[in-house]
Amino acid sequence: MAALSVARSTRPRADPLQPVLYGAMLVVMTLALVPFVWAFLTSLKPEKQVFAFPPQLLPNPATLYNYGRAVDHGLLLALFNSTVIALTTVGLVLVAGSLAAYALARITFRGSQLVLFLIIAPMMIPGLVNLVPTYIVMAKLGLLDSYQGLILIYWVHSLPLAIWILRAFFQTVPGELEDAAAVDGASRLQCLWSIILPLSQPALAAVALLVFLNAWNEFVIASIMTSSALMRTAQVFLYLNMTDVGVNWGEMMASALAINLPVLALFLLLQRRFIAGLTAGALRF
Amino acid sequence: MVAPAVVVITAFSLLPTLYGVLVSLYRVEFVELLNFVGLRNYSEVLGDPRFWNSVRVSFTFTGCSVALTFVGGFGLALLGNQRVRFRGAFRTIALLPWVTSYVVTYLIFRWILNSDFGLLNAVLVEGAGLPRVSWLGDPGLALGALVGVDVWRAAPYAMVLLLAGLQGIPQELYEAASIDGATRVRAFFALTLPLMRPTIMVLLVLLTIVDFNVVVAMLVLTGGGPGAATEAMSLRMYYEAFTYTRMGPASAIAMIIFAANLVLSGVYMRLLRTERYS
Repeated sequence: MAALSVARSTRPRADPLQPVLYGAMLVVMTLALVPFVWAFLTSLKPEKQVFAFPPQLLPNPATLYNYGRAVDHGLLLALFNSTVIALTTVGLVLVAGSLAAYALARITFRGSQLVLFLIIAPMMIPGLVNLVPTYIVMAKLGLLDSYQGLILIYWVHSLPLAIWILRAFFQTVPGELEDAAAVDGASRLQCLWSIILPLSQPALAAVALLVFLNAWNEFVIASIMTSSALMRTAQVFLYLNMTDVGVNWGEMMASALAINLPVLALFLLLQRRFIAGLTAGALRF
Repeated sequence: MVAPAVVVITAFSLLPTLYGVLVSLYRVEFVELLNFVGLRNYSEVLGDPRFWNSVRVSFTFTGCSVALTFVGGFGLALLGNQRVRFRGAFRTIALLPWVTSYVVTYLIFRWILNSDFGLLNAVLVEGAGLPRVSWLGDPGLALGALVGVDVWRAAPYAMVLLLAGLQGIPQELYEAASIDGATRVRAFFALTLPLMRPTIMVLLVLLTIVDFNVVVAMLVLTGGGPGAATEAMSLRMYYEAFTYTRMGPASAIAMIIFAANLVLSGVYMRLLRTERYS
């Protein structure tokens, strides 16, 4: 078999290990996809087929009933909440992050080393450690169960990494461009806005995606910060539906897939940026 | 320009950590610090057998998960680094678990591992004629299931970092080795592994810190059960704080976790430094 496929291969130096490689790749891809496919099939099944053993492979008849139930239980509001929170966080991180990163990349001022340390230090503190104090502070500020509270925390948690990535990228932009602009009377802010930011689109996109992904997928902080049904983020909605309503697996799978769809779509569209962010983000966690 | 970032980070990230130290030394009623009790929260935590159980769970889970994720991730990276067709599709699909949130991942697996109607038992019973297994009802199996799902989720992440490392190795080295008659296996142990050492070290410590701090995995898949068989330190802290509203002891556990993390971060930074100078 192996010899045959090598002989057929059009490549000049075909690898005798290729069938093994393809086999292993197939196994890995199957393992990665089966849970999603099974969740999808379950989500399309009427309740009686969900709780059948042995399970039927394909839903018969396929129905969107479970998606309707999820919507009745507040799926759309949860998705809306998560969208507002994640997008606002991305915006705030990009603004404050690029300002700080620019200052740290270009301007040497008294205490700039200390400032850099203050910004980077939180990356060494795992979020779990700050959970209780953050909760108490937010309770005292009256920010529990509000968009503002969650956005504030996500903003603060995302900034160090964003500044770290952006600062490194800004430093690769040649300073002569700004010098020329400065001669023409451009201010620092104008330099940042019209020279640095347009040249830094790849880094900005990577940061935006990473921040969006983290904010969208975050659960622990969201679970302690939100108490009312109106404020639930998508992840909290999913978890609470599992424990509150009893487990209707068809509906749970429908919700889970709907909630996963935005990040999955973003990933499939912008994979390169995602991976750039992930590799840069290795310095965190 | 840097002021907004510094102010919010200091106010809502650095100061809370210090405040957390304070909370761990107080008797706390809901969110009010009542009176200073010194180390009493710590002695209460350290005298609790459930805490020591959670330490054991944390270390078992983290150790197994990191080791298997590393091996699996390395396998994926080696596969993803081959010059074969469909390499792009392979990398994309292998990464899907990574973009999926913890809650979604563990929920889907809770359904797959369901002892009555789950896919895995269906395959076992119908496919192989084996008896049903109560995956999440048996202490050992539940911890094993947690590790398994964690590896499924984290191996792609390991793959990305290791791939970056693999691609940094100059191809000429392999050509030279092959001219000298080295086999693939020999080239792997003599070239790839030593050259990847910095990446490997960083990855191992990153994975360790993530696994050590994970809450959602246990919360969604097992709730810490059966009994307290999968109740890690992180989950124990979450329950103390937000189920029993015992913020004092919870903060003490958080500080113990923090100390463990600092040790790990120290190791991490030292490794990064050796990477830079060697």
